[in-house]
Amino acid sequence: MSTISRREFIGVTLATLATATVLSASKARSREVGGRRWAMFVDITKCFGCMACVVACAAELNVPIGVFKTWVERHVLPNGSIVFVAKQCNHCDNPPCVKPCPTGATYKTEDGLVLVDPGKCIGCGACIVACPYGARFFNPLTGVADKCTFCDHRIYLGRLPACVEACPTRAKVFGDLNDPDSEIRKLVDMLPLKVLKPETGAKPQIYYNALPEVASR
Amino acid sequence: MSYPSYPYDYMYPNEVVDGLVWLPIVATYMLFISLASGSAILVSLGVLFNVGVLRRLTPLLLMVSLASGLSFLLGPLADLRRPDRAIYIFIYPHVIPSEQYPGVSLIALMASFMWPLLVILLVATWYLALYKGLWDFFVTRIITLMLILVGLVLSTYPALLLFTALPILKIYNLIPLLPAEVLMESIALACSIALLTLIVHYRIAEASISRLLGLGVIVAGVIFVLLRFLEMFRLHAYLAGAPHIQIFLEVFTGLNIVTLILALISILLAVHVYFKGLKISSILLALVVLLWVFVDRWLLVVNIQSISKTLIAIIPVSLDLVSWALESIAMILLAMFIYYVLYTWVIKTPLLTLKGEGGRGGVG
Repeated sequence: MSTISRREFIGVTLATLATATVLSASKARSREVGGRRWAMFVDITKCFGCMACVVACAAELNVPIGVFKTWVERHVLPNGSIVFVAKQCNHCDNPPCVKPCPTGATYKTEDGLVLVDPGKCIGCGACIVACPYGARFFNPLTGVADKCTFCDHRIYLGRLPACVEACPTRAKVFGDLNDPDSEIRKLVDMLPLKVLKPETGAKPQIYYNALPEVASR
Repeated sequence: MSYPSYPYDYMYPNEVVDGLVWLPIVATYMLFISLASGSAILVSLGVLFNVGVLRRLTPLLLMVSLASGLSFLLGPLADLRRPDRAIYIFIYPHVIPSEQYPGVSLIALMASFMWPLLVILLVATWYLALYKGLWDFFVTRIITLMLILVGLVLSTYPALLLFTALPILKIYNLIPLLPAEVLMESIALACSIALLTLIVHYRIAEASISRLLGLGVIVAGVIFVLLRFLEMFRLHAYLAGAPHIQIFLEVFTGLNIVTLILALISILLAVHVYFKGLKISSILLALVVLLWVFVDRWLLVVNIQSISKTLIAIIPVSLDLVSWALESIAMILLAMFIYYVLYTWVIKTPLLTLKGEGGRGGVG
C-alpha cells in the first residue's frame, strides 16, 4: 500500500486550491467581459445647448410634441455662468420603475437596458410616478408609458443612439461598460464622474462629467 | 427659443405635460379600500373573539365590506389610460421577481391576490357563520383569522402604494406612520358607515350598538390624531429647513390641518353618540368621518403627487373635477347596487343577528 507524506499531502491540497481559485476567477471574469452593459457618458463642459440631441431623438423615435425622451436643462450657477445638462432615462441597474409595473410591461434586458413593451402596458402610470428622474411619460399617441430606449433598434446594428450621433461636440459617449477597450469604460475609469440622485439607490448608468450640484437633481 | 431658467420653477418637462399621473379618482378608490378592509376587520374581530355586539353586526358589516370590495376596482379602471387592457393584470401579474423583472408589483399583488382573497374569505365567512351557523367552528376561526390579516394588509395598502411609488416619501421617509394612520381611518370609517346604514334601515340604532360603534370611532380617531401630531412635530422640529421638506410642508400642511380638525370633530361627535346615541349625531358622525378620510386620501393622492421630482417645485395641476365626480358617483352607485342585491337576493338575513344568536347558531 502506497503512503503519502504530510509534505506531499499539503502540496497536493494547496495545488488543488490554487487551481480551483484561478479557474473560478477566470470564469467570473469571462462572464463579466462576455456580458455587455450599455451606458452613457455626458460631458457637461462640452454641451452648449444646441438641442441637436432633442431634435434627433424626436425625429428618430417619432416623439410627440410636448413630451421628451431626452431634454436639455439650462442652469445658472451661483457665479453667473451657465451650464447645459442633457438628461434622459438613466437605464438604472436597480430600476425603480420596473418593480411597480403590474404586468411586467417594463423590464430589464441582460445588457442593462430598461425597456417598455407597449403591447403589455395598461397605462396605470405606476412606473411614471416611480421614476425619480421624470424620464417617463404617457405617450399621447398610444396611451402607454414611453421613454428613452438607448435606441435599441440601432445599437445592435452597430450604430450609435440618435442623440449621440447628432451631438456636434461629442458631449455624449455611448458604449459597453464591460468592454475594457471601449471609450466609455476608459472615461468612467479615468474621470471623477457623478450620477443623478445617487441617494435613490437606483444605480443610474449615465455618468456625468463636471455635473454641478444645482443640476444633479 | 427661450429656455426656462433653472433652478427657479425647476421641474422636469414631462411632469409639466402629464400633470397628475394618478387621477383624483384614485382618492375615491382608496376610500373604498378603507371601507372594505375596515369592515372586514370588524367582521373578523366579532367572529374571532366572540364580541357579542360586534357579532350581531356581522351580516351588515359583511355586506358593506363585500359591496365596497366588489366595486372599488372601478377606480383604477377609470384611472388607466388603456382600460381595455385591465385584464392583463390578472393574465401577466408581476408577482414573481426575476432578473428581467426585479421586485414585485404591489398593484399586481393587490389585484391578482389580495382582492380575490378578500372576496373569497368574506363569502366563506358568510357561508360558515351566517348560513351554516358554525360561528365557533375551527375552520370559521381560521378563515376569520386570515380575513383579519387580509384586512390589515388592505387597509394599509394606500400607504404602502404611496411609499413604494412616490420617490419623495420613499427616499426621505417623510410620513413613516402613515400605514398605522390609514388603518385607524379604516376602522373609524367602517364604524361610522355601519352606524349610518343601520339608521337608514331602522331609523335608530340600538343603544349598545351605537355605543360600540361610537367607541370604535373614538379610539381610532384619538390614535390617528396622536400619530399625525407626532409626525407633524417630527417634520417641523427635526427636519424643517431642507428645501424638499419645505416643499412637502407647503403641499401637506393645509389639508392636513383640515384632516385633523375633521378627525377632532368626529371624535367629539362620537363621544356624543356614545353617551346619547341620537340619530342626528350618528348621521353627522358618518358624514364627518367620511369627509375626514376622503380629505386625507385627497391629500395623499393629489397634493403629494403634485410635488415635482426635482423636490423644489410644485407641478401646476388642472383637475377635471366633473369627470372625477361622475366616476366617483358611478362607484358609489355600483356599491349601493351590490349591497341591495346582497341584501335582497343573496344573503337574505336580517342586518343584525338576534341577541345571543351568534353564540348559539345561525340564521340560515
